[in-house]
Amino acid sequence: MSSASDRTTHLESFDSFYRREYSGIVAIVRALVRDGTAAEDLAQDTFMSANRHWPKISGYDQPRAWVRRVAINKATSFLRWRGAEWRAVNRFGGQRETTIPELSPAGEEVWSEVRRLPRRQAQAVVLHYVAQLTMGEIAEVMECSTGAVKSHLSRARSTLSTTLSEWSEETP
Amino acid sequence: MNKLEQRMEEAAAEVRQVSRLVRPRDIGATRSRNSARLAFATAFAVVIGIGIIPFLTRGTDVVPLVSPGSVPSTVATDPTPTTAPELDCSAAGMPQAEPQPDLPEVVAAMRADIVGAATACDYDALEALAGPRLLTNFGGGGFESFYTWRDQGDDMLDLMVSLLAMPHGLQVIEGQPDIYAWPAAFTYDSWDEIPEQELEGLRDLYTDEELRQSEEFFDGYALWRLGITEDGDWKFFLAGD
Repeated sequence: MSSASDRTTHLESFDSFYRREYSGIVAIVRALVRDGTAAEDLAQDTFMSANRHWPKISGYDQPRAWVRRVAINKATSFLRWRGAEWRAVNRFGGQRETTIPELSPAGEEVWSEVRRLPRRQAQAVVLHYVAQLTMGEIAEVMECSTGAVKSHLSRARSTLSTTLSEWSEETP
Repeated sequence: MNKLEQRMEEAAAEVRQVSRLVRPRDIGATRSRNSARLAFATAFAVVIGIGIIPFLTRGTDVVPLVSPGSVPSTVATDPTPTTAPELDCSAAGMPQAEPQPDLPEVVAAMRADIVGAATACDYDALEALAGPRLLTNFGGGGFESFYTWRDQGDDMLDLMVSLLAMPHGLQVIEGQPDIYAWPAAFTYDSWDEIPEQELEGLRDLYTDEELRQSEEFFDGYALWRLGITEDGDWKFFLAGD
């Protein structure tokens, strides 16, 4: 059984972890989800999950990998269903403001095209470019082989080299 | 560095930069804020439920959109009811199952019970409904998969409830009880037989690529589906072939 001091240590450790990792998770989710408010809330939800399970997660070799995995899964879940619910709730409840600044049109276009990729490819792209993870780290987060990660990235780059160049040609 | 790499690096640097400007909130404040959000989502679902009752009695399958003007003012002005339970799962606040025609009573009851338990985030109730023979993957996984999915951050309950809101079909296997399956797309013999209206519903749940792969590799719908036997037993919730 955990003692009170153990629990305090866990809470303090979580606080430190939370403040260090928060912006990185926001960045990952923001790239996967266009809505800044949703991205912030999904990042918060991710850390709330981490907080609930912290005594267990803090014992993992890579708590960061767990949090990143949860974040990309929450983003997927959001895109699959909750996006519709979210829009409806915001419509009736009033749009909350995000504290994430807007991206430039060029930047937004890049992530818009990334979001159009198959889900696993988009996740690999975001973890590679935004989170700047190695192939091994991405494989750990996505729970697949490094070969699969390379394959996802290769196919994603192939698609993006076409879609983004088309966009560049259309944009003066 | 080629042009694509340069653009990706620049775009990634920008996302990292703007995200560093976001201050992490106090986790206690986060709980309160999300409770309010969930409470409002629940209130929203109730409003939708009230709004569709007249349509249900007319037998239509179409869920009407509720215009902002039709929302009762008590809900619009009080988005944080203190009595709302603090539910923490992806299906929290989703609408309950609308009645579907042609379902045997025991099947309809099981479907309604699954949706009720999922939207209440009640894993104990779900597990009791599942029984020991539920299949969640072809390796023989049972209800424990739901706990695994939850721990991995995507609890699948929203998808399950969404599927149960779609039209159903009948899977007939000789010598075994018939199985009522959601979505109906699963029960067609080939992809081409799936009506456009049902494909449209699937596009809300899956990416075009996922649907394309299902068509290409299986010539049919082999994505997530849920089955209940004609005896009312919850048989499967799984994907793949």
